[in-house]
Amino acid sequence: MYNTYDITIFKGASRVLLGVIEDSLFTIENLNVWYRQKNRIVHALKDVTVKIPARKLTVIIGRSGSGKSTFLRTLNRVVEMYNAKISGKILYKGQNIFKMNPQVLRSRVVMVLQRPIALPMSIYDNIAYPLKSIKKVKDKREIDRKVEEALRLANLWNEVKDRLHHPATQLSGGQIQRLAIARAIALDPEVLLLDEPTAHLDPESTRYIESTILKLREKVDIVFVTHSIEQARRLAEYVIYFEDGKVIEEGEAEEVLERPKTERLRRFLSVFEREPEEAEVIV
Amino acid sequence: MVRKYRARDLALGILVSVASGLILALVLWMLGSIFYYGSIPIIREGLKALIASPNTSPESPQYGGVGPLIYSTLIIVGACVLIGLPLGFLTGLYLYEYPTSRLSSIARRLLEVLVEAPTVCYGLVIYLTFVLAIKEKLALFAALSLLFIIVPYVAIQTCDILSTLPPELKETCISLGLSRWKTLKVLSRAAWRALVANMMISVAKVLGETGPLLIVAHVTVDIAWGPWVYHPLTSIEPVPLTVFIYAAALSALHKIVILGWLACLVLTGMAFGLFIIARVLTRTIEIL
Repeated sequence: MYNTYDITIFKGASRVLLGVIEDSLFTIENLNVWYRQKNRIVHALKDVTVKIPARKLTVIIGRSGSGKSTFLRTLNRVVEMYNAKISGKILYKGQNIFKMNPQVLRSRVVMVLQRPIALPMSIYDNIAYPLKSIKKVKDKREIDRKVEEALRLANLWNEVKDRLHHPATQLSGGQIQRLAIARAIALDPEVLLLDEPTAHLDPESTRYIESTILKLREKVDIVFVTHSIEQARRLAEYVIYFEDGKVIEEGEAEEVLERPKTERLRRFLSVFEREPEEAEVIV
Repeated sequence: MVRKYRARDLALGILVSVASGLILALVLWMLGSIFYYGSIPIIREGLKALIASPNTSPESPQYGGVGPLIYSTLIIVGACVLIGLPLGFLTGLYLYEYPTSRLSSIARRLLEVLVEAPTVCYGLVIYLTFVLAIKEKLALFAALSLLFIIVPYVAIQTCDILSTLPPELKETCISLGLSRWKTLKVLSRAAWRALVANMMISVAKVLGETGPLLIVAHVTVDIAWGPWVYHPLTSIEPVPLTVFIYAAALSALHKIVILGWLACLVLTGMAFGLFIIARVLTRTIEIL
């Protein structure tokens, strides 16, 4: 006879095994998402069926309004704060996310938003507060160590080490975005969801963020949304292309970006090949 | 053509300047009157005017003071603030957090009606429900009638202030896995200056409220037909300042009228102090 503890271990082990066999981080089946926008219902995701592989930097590309950000927000159920209606199935490492405690899911699958936002507290507390509140870390030395480690990983330590207790709102946009990444990685997430984190940043800050992402890919699974094909080419290992709320094409980055199979993706990529700057405006 | 536009601009400029000047003159005249008449008892009797009871003897040249009236105002407003501010704030958090729930939308509509309704009605409700039943004019009942003013105001303003924060701040907290309670804590922290300033304004609002207190304190009848008007006062109940101002205005005794001005000065000073705090806080609100 097995006791409850053994069964829990078996369940956990089978999930891990399932994840290894399937080699997928997320398995999404027939996902539909609707939300209300100015008194009309938007069908943002339409029958999305796709797998996001583990241990690969996955980049989601597509035009504005194609549903890529909604898709990302659905992966850790943040979309629910907008009273979205959801149907379909999302398995995270074999576990149905809609049966998980949303707070636990979000602390494992952490998201960084497009617009850089600092919590209304000091630089130090921006990282320490979630650590204390979510991970229940109490030891001051442990918190100090985590704060420094996260800031180093996010390429921000050298810039802020002398003013850790200054208000975080005084930092520049690029620094706040790196602080947001540091805040997320301090929680030791299993997956990092990045929603166009460089959209509002200058080229130098973008370069900083990209180098941070490349450093982090060894440590954590990353799903990254961007509308810049050049950025996707620089970072992606796996690519998913969204159009009109549907997944049009997915696969290894080189395959999808260099030898697209569908006409719709070819058309999307050709806009960038013509004139990158013009394409940024169109997309 | 250009001359015509210039003339029109000039005319408009003169018109708005005259209108603003008139309003300013009116306010200055009112404040000046309050200050001039209100300071007479202070000049004559010093700080005693803020501590002693009103002297109701027609023979005595002494004014007395408005001490017990200030005390009763502080007790009533204090009790109201103590219950009303947390209640209003928590209701506001609910309205903000559950904007689409049926309870929230009904509550919001009702609170909006309460904000706009004549405040004297609340006094009548409390008077008919509690004062007549218990046959006591307790300060708590007066505070209860003021709750109808402070709670809707604070609740609606709290909800509206939190709604002006960037939605990404809330999304950031939720994306990190913070609980609903902790998320609201962060949001309140981001908007604390505006929230506190709003609370100060709400306190100033109830401080100057007269309608419900007149009924709850059950002095209207006494004032209109009782000994207060036609006979020299022999005793004054410790009513709030606002009610005393009303009574003093109808009094036949000149020194009670002057003490009414002093009560006005004290109330204006209190409200002015609260508005200054609110102003200083809102001026330093950080833009996220």
